[in-house]
Amino acid sequence: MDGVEVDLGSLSCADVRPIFQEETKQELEERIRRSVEFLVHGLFTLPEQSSERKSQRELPEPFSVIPRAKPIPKEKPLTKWEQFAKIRGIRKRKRDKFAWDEGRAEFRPIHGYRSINDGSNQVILPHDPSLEPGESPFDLLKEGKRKRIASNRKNQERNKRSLSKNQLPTHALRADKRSSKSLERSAKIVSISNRSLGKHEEGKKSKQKLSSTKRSLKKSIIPNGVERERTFQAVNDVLKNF
Amino acid sequence: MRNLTEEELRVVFEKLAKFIGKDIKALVEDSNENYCFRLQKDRVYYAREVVAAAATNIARHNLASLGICVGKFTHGGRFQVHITFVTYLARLAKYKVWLKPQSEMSFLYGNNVLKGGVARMTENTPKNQQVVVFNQSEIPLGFGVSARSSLEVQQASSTDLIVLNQADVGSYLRDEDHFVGCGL
Repeated sequence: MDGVEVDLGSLSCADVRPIFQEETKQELEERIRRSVEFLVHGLFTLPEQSSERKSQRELPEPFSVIPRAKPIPKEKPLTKWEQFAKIRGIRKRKRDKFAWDEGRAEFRPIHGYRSINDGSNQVILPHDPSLEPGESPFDLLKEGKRKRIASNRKNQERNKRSLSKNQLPTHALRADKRSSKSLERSAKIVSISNRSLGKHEEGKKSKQKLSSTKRSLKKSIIPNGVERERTFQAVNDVLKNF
Repeated sequence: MRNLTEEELRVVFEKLAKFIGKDIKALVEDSNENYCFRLQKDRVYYAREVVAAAATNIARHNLASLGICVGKFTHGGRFQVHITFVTYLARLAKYKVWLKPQSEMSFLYGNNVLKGGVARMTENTPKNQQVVVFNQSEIPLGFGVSARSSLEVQQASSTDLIVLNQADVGSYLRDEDHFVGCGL
């Protein structure tokens, strides 16, 4: 269209004619105005949709290729379950988070707090012949839940540790509460925390260096001119109220 | 060592203005050399810019002092003027009190000034005003707060308090520990 490329799908237009050096700002603005005119004109040529709103039109598929703004995210290592699922060919199914609860006649979450299968506030339980006399089925339910949570937490920790590439010390407690970055840092500290400060460590470890965070003087001392101005400002402020 | 923030500068100048009034401008402006204020371990120092720049070469915990100590910030955020700054205060002071030779010693031991010890006093000194104390030979001895205005002094008896001691040069001996790292 006369040197103007209009991509209605992405609502963009571009004047592809070359720009000459002697072109003034006015002429450039004229170019912009002209291309926008084409864009708006193109929009109105689209078939109108019959709906309650009068000026509703469906945009075609965009064809212009726009580069990515951010770098492609790095691939995270697979968790233990994901590795297993890959081998077995288990695919993730999308499941609803809520399900209809017949007894209470309302939608309830399938898992977690106030979930359908949450046995914590059940008043009557079916008899289990495997129970020993004196054992409470209610306590057993609670115990089971506690164990499931604990084992899940352990798995989370393990996955997080594999996220930070380094081997972690065995005493890194509650890794699930710390970010993988801070874990990585503590792993580095541990790896060079020996008598030779990591000098005689073998392999990868020996090359690790902690990035030092030295405080720069520049931050605490501002340039003289700025300081003088600030001082005069303070003096004048004080004298104003004097 | 770091610069003072705007808020800190304001607090310092407000305090100094109580001694020298509008002459606080002279502290910053009126000199061939540029002076600046620096904060190091809660103490405020008044130093030439050259000195302050040189002091940046010394690590924070090693730097004992630079320039001259103006005073320190208390934990409550107030600012206390130290005796080390008395020479500057004496030069620009608005209200002065001169002591008789026989009461000089008493003042230097940290006692307040009685009427009997006052030789002279600046006229129109108001009550509760920061004053600088001199001896008869114009040597600054310290500073304090006037307990009476100069008019009230005339009616006061010879044992009435006139100046409440805030700091005197005797404290160089009395509180030696206090002045370590204070520009001495």
